[in-house]
Amino acid sequence: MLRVLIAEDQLMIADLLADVLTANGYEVCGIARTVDEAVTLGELHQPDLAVLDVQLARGGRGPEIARRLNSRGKFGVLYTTGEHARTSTLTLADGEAAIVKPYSVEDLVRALEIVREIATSGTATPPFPPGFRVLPAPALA
Amino acid sequence: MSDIALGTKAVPDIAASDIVETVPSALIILDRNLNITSANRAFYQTFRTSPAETEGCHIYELGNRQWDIPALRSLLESVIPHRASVEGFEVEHDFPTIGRRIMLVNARKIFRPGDHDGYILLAIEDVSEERAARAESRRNWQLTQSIVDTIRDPLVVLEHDMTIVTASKAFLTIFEITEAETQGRRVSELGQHQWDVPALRHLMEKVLPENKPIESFEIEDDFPGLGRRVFNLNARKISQPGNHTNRMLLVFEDITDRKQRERDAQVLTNEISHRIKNNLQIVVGLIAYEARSTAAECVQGYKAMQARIGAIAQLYDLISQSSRGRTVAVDAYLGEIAETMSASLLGNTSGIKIEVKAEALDIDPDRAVPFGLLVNELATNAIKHAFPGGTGRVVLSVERVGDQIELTVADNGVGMKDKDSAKVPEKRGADYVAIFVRQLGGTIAPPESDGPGTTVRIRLPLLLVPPEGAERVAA
Repeated sequence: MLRVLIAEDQLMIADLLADVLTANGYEVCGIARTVDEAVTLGELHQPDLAVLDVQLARGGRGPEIARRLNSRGKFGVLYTTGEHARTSTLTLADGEAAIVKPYSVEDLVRALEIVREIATSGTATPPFPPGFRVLPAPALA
Repeated sequence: MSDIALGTKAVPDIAASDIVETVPSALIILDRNLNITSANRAFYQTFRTSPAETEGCHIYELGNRQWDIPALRSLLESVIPHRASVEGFEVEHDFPTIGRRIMLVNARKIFRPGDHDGYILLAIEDVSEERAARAESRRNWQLTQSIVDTIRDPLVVLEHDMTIVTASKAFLTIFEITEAETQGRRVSELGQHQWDVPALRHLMEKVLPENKPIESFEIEDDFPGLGRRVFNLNARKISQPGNHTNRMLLVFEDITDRKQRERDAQVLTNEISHRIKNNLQIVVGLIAYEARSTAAECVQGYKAMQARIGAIAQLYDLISQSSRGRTVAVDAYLGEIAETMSASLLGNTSGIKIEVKAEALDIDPDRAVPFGLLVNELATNAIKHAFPGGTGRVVLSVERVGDQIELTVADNGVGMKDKDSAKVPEKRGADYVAIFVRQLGGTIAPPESDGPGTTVRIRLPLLLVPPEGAERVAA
């Protein structure tokens, strides 16, 4: 059973996510509201996947979690975000993909499947759900 | 003048007098007692006198003693006797006939053979106007300099070769540089070469020859003593009247604070957007909860509800992408809607294309949401039902027709006859279309489906367009 870490400061949304993921055969290994909580839970449970909100409680940001847990090569990361794709600064260095809020639960489940595919095989197979995008490679500094 | 003999040369006498008569300077000839022996036409014209009043008259007696000027006396009585010629002797005097004048007097002693006393030739040039112009120009320059110094924004005046002629006090103070350090140097050489930017140099080279001003060229850099600053550079050509040299005025506007406010506003917008999206996510979540415990036949309705909430959230993004001022650019907005629909409903591999043909029109943000939902509903409908074969074209267009806006959503699909079986979701969709049209104060023409495909035309009042003068910002 794949283990998923959730970082979401809105408990209503976090609870819904946990519910849906469980119903779809995942094990939710932790729900964090802050970056520190997420890092602690991540180190403890070594998840296979993470669903991270970009803007967390107390000014924390999802990409910080992925960076501190050194997610690259270890687990797939799906960001949930209110940011428009054009203003977003997320790249492949932060995680595999992002889906915009509000997403439907079916779309989120599908999005997480794609992230798992990218994390394990490096490729993504369309169709993609609405508001989903694979993160672009970071611009060369 | 004919009494100035030129000796026995072959040149006829008349030549000398002709030359004298045509010279624009006023000329007079005095004998050694300072009596006027003759004068030329320019003299008579300039001083409004005549040969009869002049010839034989003592210079000081001439014209009611108006030539009895201390400066002229000193020239004629102290300087001339000791020198063969004097040039550029300046006489300023208030002449009763012609007013205050500045005269430049050249004097030369001329001798006739066998005559040791000689004559004095005076050439008198009226330089009053030239001097006045020069003084005016000097005053202008001083005025310019004092204006330059009072302007808070630092600025420099550049020569044709881009070297600095003047730098304002503000420039010297802000960039901690002395006047001597600026003069004759190029802007690109100053400080730590912060202004040495190829794109700026390129633009500056066009200001003078092409009279092409630079508007708002932004440079962000670290400045010693100032820290990180953003400057907006503006440059234009300045010309002095009567002077053919052109110079360039280069103004440095410090927009660091404005930039910071813009960035703060962007952060705030993102924060608000984040909250709105979270709230919509909670609503979508609540619907999803309900859907799970609902009879199977109702699930479709819940899903449609989620999709429409998603559409509102998307429109919210698109509106903020298509506007920055008080209006939303319809052309850009439609383009964004089409792009988003293509990406989310169709995917990259779809044979269905969405095109936009829109005039540059504006709507106010309040109406942008129902307008967007209307377009969304019509286009979604076309995509879902017009193309059983999976290929086709949907055209979204907006044009101004008289005092109305006409929104057209046209497809080249199968037309209406094949899908009139009144399925529930379409019925609902048609209700929404009617609601949005009413909300916008418009009317809907019956769908046209004579040929292939379906065309829906909706007339909306031009009220959508805000009053003239409202700031229009394209996406």
